[in-house]
Parts: sequence; structure tokens; C-alpha cells
Amino acid sequence: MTPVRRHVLLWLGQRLAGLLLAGGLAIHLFQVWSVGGAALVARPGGGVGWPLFYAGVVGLALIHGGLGVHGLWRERRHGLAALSIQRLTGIALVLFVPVHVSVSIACVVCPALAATVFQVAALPLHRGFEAAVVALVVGHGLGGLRVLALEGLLWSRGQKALAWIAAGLTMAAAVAVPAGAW
Amino acid sequence: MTAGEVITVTIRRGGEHGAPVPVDFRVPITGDPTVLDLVTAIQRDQAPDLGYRFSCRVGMCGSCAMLVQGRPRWTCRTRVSLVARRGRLDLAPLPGLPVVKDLAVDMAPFFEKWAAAGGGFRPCESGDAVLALVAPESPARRNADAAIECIGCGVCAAACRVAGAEPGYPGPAALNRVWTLVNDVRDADGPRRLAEVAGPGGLFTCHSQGACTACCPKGLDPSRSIAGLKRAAVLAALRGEP
Ligand code: HEM
Ligand code: SF4
Ligand code: SF4
Ligand code: FES
Repeated sequence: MTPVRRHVLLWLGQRLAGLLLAGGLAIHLFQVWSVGGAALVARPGGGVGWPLFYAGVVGLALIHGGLGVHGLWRERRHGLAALSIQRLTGIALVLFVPVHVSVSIACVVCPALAATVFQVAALPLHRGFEAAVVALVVGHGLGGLRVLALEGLLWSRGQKALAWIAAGLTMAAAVAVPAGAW
Repeated sequence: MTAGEVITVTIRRGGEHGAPVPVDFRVPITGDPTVLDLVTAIQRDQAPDLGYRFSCRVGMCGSCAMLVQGRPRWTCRTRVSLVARRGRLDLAPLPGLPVVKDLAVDMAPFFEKWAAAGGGFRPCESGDAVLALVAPESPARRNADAAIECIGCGVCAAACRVAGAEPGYPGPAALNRVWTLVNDVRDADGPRRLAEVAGPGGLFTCHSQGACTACCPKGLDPSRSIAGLKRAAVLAALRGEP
């Protein structure tokens, strides 16, 4: 494998994982909105379907976030010059996702812990935090889909309109998803 | 700004010698001037030693680009009335290039990137002088057409933060040029050019946020051209090519 080919294929892997994540996280957010986090964690007799689904989402996040951080590291000489909203939200997600996944797994394994966690989750401050997290992931996801529309479909004109639509949908999701879960 | 008013133009002056300093000029407005008209008026009436560059004055040569109110623009076709704020106008040389004098920068590094990225056309050896037939409506021809009218003004490269930060990155203009050649059936190097620009520090360094496209005065779309190169490079890599 030539260095150029490796470089190109890693980039492709990052973008493909991002695309699949968009589907996975949309399903996840819909679940949170419709049945709520507590029910997700306590899912009675769920079979292997959902665990597999979530394992897949976490795997994709590892690939996408890992390759993203790898790219950022390679380009570290850019410093702050090349930071876009896409990057800042990406970095924030890389910090948030491991915490979120570990806490969720802990809650599944240990119902006593889950009770405490959902007490904290009911605090008003935490609800603001939930809205922020949803804004983060939806904003980054839609911003990413906008990039994928350009790079995959060469759909370039109208990017500005897409950016505004993405911003609007992000606001709406940040309010609706936590509100649905409460 | 309308005729009869006086505008304050701040020009960042300086050159190879000494740090740049902002200098204010007060200029009466006549007619509906362009930014370049103002700079010319200043040079004529107030600062004969002011360094700046222009040639065609009609948006064809690409030599008059500057930072206008912090944004790169061609100045011969930018109306003062559209960009001045509260009677003030801020001018500086294009960023990322060595300043020769005042508003004139050395464009050599910009064009060296074109050369390094393989921006030169290399004709196919057709043996007997058979002319290539390129159907106007073929996708490749359309792609090349859409990107070919570049005047080499450097505005897109000045707008690109990646090009500003990463010296090895070819930049939007050079990559836009490569895209025209990749789509040119008469070019001997064709898709083989991809391997030249697809490696680390190359076209995948672009973030597709489109500052280049937003600023290109010719309405070209370097961001799309680069996306096209990315797609072509991915397809080539999947075929096991570069
Ligand atoms: C919701 C679905 C998602 C989509 C559609 C998506 C899409 C994208 C795209 C297209 C980029 C490239 C931006 C660029 O080159 O500037 C990107 C960057 C990034 N993403 Fe995501 N992403 C998603 C979710 C996530 C998640 C869950 C994480 C955290 C694990 C994450 C972490 C990152 C990081 C760290 C970057 C920075 C890479 C860079 O800028 O070079 N993304 N994402
Ligand atoms: S889209 Fe790419 S080339 Fe254009 S300004 Fe952004 S990083 Fe630079
Ligand atoms: S692509 Fe547009 S902005 Fe860039 S050099 Fe060519 S004409 Fe100027
Ligand atoms: S002077 Fe020729 S493009 Fe402005």
C-alpha cells in the first residue's frame, strides 16, 4: 500500500463512518426522545438486537472520532488557524462520548447506580446540559452531512442555505429531544 | 458613501524594510468609485510613493487583489459604496505572501504552488495531428468549463485558513487548476495528476468549509473542484491506483 493510497483510504473511512453514525445517532436520539434514557438502560428482555446496535454505533464513533483526532494531530501545526465549528464540536464529542458510553454501560450493569444517575439527570442544571449535548451532536452531524453532500455528491451551490437549515434543525432538536425524554 | 462626502481610507503601509504601519488618508468621493479608484486618487494626490498593483481595471488580469475591510477582494470591481462603513475603509495587502511595498505583494509563491501541484498542461502525443473532439455537454467538459475562468488573483488562497497555516498545502486556486486538467482529455497526465496532490498535506487537508468559493470574485467554486478531486482520488485508491 502506497502512502498516498493509505492516506486516501483512511480519509474515506472517516467519512463513511461519519455517514453511518448519522443514521445510528438519529435512531439513538429518536429512542431517547420516544422512550427516554431510563427505559433504554433498563430495557427489559431486549434480546441481542439493541446491544448489537449500540456496539456498532460505539465502534463507528471509535473509527470516526479516532481517525478525526489522528487527522487533527497530523495537522497540529495549523494550531488554531484551521478550527471550524465542525472541528470544535468534533473535539467536544470526542471528550463527551467516552464519558457518556462508560456511564451508560455502568447503568446497564448496575441498576443501583442507574437510580442515582437518573436522580442527577432530573436536576434542572442537567437538563440544560442535555440540551447542549444534543445541540452538539446534531449540529456536528448535520454540519458533517453538509460536508458529505459536497464531497460525495459535489453538491456545492446552496451550502449556505444548508448551513442555515442545519442550524435551525439543531436548535429544534436541542429543545425537542430532552423535552421528549422528560 | 455618496459623491461629495469625504472618506477616511486606512492603508497598511510597509514593505521589505520595517514593520507595516496604518496610515490614514482623507479622500473626497466623486461619482461611484471603486476601491481601486480611491487608491489611485491617493497615489496621484497625496502619496506618490504608494505601492499597489493593477493592470486591466475590468476584472480580467487578477492583479489588483487586496484585503478590503479584512476580506480579500478584487479592488477594480468592488464599489466603495458597498464596502465602506461609517465613512471609513480599511485596506491591507493580501495575507500569506511577502509584501513588496505597501499594497503590492510578491505573487511568486502563489504561482509556485500551481507549478508544484502540476498546473501545467502537457499535450497528448497524438502522432498525426488528430484534434481531440470534446463534446460541450460531456460531464468532464462541463467540470473543466466551470473552473477554467480563473484569473489567478489569489483571493481564494488569501481567504483559505488552511492555506494560510499550512505552507505545503497547494491551496484552492492551484487545486482548482488541477481539476480542470484532470477533466481535460487532451492532457497526457490526466488522472495521474491525482497521486501528486492526494498525499498528506495535499487536497485532503481541505475542510470543505468553502471560504474560497464564498470569496472568489469570478464566481468560481474551488471548493467543489477540490471535492471533485477528492472523489476522483478515492475512486482511484479503490481501484488500487496511486
Ligand atoms: C452524527 C454523525 C456524524 C457525522 C455525520 C459526522 C461527520 C463529520 C465530518 C464530515 C467531519 C469532517 C470535518 C472536516 O474535515 O473538517 C467530521 C469531523 C470530526 N468528527 Fe464527526 N460526525 C459525526 C459524529 C461524530 C461523533 C459521535 C464524534 C465523536 C466520537 C465525532 C468526532 C469528530 C472529530 C474529532 C472530527 C474532527 C476531524 C477533523 O476535523 O479533521 N463525530 N465529522
Ligand atoms: S474549502 Fe478547502 S480550499 Fe476552500 S477555503 Fe476551505 S480549506 Fe481552503
Ligand atoms: S479561483 Fe477565483 S479567487 Fe481563486 S485565483 Fe482564481 S479567480 Fe481568483
Ligand atoms: S485590475 Fe485587473 S482584475 Fe482588477
